[in-house]
Amino acid sequence: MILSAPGLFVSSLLYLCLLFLVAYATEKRWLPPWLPRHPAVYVLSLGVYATTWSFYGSVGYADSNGFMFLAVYLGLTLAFILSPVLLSPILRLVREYQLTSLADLFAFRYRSQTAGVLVTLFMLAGTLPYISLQIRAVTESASVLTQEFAPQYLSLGFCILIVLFAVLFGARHISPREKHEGLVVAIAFESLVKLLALALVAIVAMSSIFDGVSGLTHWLDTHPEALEAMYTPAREGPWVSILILSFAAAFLLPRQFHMLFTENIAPGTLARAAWGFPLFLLVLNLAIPIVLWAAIKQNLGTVPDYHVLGIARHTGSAGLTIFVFLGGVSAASAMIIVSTLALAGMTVNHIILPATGTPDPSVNLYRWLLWGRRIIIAVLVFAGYGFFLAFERSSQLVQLGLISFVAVAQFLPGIVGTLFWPAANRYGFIAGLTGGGLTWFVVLILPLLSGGGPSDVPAEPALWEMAGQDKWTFSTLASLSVNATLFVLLSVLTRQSAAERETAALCAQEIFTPYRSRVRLASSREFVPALAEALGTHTAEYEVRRAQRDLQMTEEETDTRALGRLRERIERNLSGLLGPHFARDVVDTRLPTDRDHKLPVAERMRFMEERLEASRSRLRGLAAQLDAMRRYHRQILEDLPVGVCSVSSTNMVTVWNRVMENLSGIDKSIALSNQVHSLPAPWNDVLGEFLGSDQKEIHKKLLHLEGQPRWFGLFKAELTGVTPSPNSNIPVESIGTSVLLQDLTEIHLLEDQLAHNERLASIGRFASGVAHEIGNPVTGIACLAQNLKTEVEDPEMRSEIQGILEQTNRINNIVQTLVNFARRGDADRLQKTRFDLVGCLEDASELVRLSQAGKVMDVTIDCDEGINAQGDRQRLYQVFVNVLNNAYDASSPGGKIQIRASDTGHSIEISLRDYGHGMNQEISERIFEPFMTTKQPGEGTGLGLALTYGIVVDHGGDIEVDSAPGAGTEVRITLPNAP
Amino acid sequence: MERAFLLFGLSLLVLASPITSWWLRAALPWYLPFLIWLVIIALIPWAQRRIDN
Repeated sequence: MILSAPGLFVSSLLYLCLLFLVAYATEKRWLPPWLPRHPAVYVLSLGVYATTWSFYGSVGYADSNGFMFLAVYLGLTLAFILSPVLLSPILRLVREYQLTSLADLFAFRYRSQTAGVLVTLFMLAGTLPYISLQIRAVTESASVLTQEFAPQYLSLGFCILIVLFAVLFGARHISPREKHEGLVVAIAFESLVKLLALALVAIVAMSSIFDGVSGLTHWLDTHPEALEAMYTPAREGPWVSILILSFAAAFLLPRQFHMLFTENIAPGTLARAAWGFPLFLLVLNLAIPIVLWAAIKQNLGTVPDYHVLGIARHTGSAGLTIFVFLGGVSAASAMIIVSTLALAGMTVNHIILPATGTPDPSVNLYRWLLWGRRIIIAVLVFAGYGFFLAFERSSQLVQLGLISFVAVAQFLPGIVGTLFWPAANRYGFIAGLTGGGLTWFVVLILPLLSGGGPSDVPAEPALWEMAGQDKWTFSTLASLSVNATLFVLLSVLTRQSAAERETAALCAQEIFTPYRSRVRLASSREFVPALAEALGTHTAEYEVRRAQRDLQMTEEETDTRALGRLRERIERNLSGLLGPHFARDVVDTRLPTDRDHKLPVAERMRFMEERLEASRSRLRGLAAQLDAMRRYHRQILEDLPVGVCSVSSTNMVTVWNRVMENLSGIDKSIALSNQVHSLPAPWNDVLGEFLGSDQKEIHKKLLHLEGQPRWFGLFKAELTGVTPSPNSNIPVESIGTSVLLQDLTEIHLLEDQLAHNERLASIGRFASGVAHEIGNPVTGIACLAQNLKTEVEDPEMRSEIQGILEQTNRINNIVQTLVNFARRGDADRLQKTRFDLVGCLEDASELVRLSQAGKVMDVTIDCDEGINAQGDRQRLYQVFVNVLNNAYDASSPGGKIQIRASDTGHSIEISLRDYGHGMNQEISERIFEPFMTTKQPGEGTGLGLALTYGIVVDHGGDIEVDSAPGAGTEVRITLPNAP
Repeated sequence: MERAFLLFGLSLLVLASPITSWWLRAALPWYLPFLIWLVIIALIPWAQRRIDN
């Protein structure tokens, strides 16, 4: 079966269109939004590692080197085993400091633009052959299927489509903060196609050529030389060297670094990828020996590199053959797209920008950078195409790939220095990389350039032959040895700068750097014009606003600590845009700091605490234990039942506990980002005045919060630093002040209640004494008057004596009321029985009706049937009489009075409602106070409702009054229900 | 201590030591390298967790 070149080209075109559709659908959210974040998609996107080398070349490599092809993936598995200590820290650095490539990482760690330039140049040199390899594989695979030289337009058209895709979906956003979700899903889709294509070919080979697994086993039994050919080269070949190379390539190849770290959408997915990605590669590689042995059995006659296509073609299925061809296109396109994207970013940030500087401020920087990257993507793809044309007839795919692997392995010492050796410095890194790179160039690239291809035998014996080693072992060991030796030697012999020492410790997670310096600008508003001089007004405005949004900061910010945080955030965001070196340069020159200024200790501690909170999962051993102790003490502070706040010597709030949040209503995050005077009112004044005064405590501070009076107690203590030694004469430095805030409102109200009760008790005692002293003489007067009445005949005299008797009777009533009032609060005197409540209410109503016979009222009693109350019937009867009397007094003749009673189960509710003149709020609140009356002098004692209140309370009940002028009054009595 | 280091050391022992020559022998089943690889992968989730003293 022979396919036509135009047919293959159209198939490739349609497939790449499908890829466009997948990426576009993801960007437009036509696909589920969780899809790009799914660990499976992340794992598949890492499948960009498997290029045409894996897809086609592995079979060829297995044919010549047996199981050696597995070492390319086993080394990667070793790197992923170390994910918690190797990959996770890199991911943390990349995300935290907005680094977009390996060049950014090294430029950041070694504080050197030269390091970034060198890494970029080396990456370019190492990757271009690899890109050409992909173009060659696509072209040659087309040749295998068409049985003729593939036309130039096929490879050229392929390159143009790749450039289009990379520009549209890979260089859409300029900043790495906005991930390219479309690109991630499209690359994952390509990996799926690769996997399915290889798996299909293996299944077809197994079933149609070997008749199943038993057939394969039988064939291997009868052809032991086939199995021997797999094992022997692996035993004797550069197994360990390939392991080392693939270990480094797993995360240092530009495309791997880009998908693993830069395009990582959800950091948690890395833990799943640690086993998921090696598993993906295992399934992919299971097909390789099966395809190889099937090709040997059938004696296909194809080049071993393209046995995969040969088997597909052998089945006679055009569909399968095209699908496998598209699997190869997937492998090639994914590698070229991601690699050029990564290299374009590195080239702009580390080659173009240092050479040209930022463009004129009038030019839109974003557009300039975006188009810069797009043009470089196109240049890189076509440079790879040029490389392909120049070295078209070189042999095995794997050879070119391994050259790239040796190149990226040169970054291993630098990575070790970044993560594990803070003493490593830029001189060591640059010297090591230069030495290792030159060795790589001499051993591997020079023979390629002079001989026309890596497999061509040079005229003179190669270096590795002279050393008695194989090519890959020699090149790996020689280049890495030179590199590591120079790296260590120079790092030991030369000194780090202070800035480099700081970033070295940051990368090795040894310290957290606080904002040590104060920004010279006074307000965040001054940031935009300062940055505009370097970046242009549009970019400066956008970057400042974005940093403010990230920090949830207001537009106008004057606090020095907040300005320090804003400056740092801008630097990190710019790092994602321009690279770390350029970003630092712009920020240092445009947003200068006062280096002589030292932040107060309390603020430094606060900053350290914030960083520790964010990173405690990474702490180990003693540091983890100390952190646990810190958290324990912090928790004690948080859970204290009083409000705690602490302020630094510059009045910045550094501690604000939970109770403080509740009492003040000010959120912790707001309090901690402000100075005391910037806190919301009234706390700014209250705390500010207290901190500024000499007072150590304020016992009761009255504040009106939300219209309610609240009383607070405030206490403060000055915080002092630790003296160098107990006998030191050095004065102790003040590092801030702690303030305790206690809510005394409840205590204050209880005290008020207590004083009120004491007053009432005094009145009671006084009333009791007065009643006793007045009662006896009045009784005497009454007796004498009664006697006199019987002795006197004169009607006028009798009438006057009757008047005396009525007045003494009235005095007796008052005295009796006083005595009753004095007895209130003595619940033990109550004679509690179970009685008919409705009957009691009817009796009370009848008595009041009779006593106020001149006033006819419309009284309605609406009660549930058979309500029984538990209590002193006589006293409660008095309660109802008192309330109804007041209702009569307040109502006009003919007015309506409603009496209701209901049993709610756990209590009995009684409502006595009139529609009289009612009372205002001031009188309502005082109605139960003794001697409080609105009646005319002589008409009431003001003790009736005080007595009523006392009786109800003595019964364990409650009484409430709801009244409004002109609307009448409702008295609600609640009595506990009889058990 | 990191379990990852333990598994890494164990894997090096299997993949890059004289033991490697032993299992890279023709007398063993063809799928043995894949089986060893699968066992290592199966242990990676375990190695992701830290050993807390």
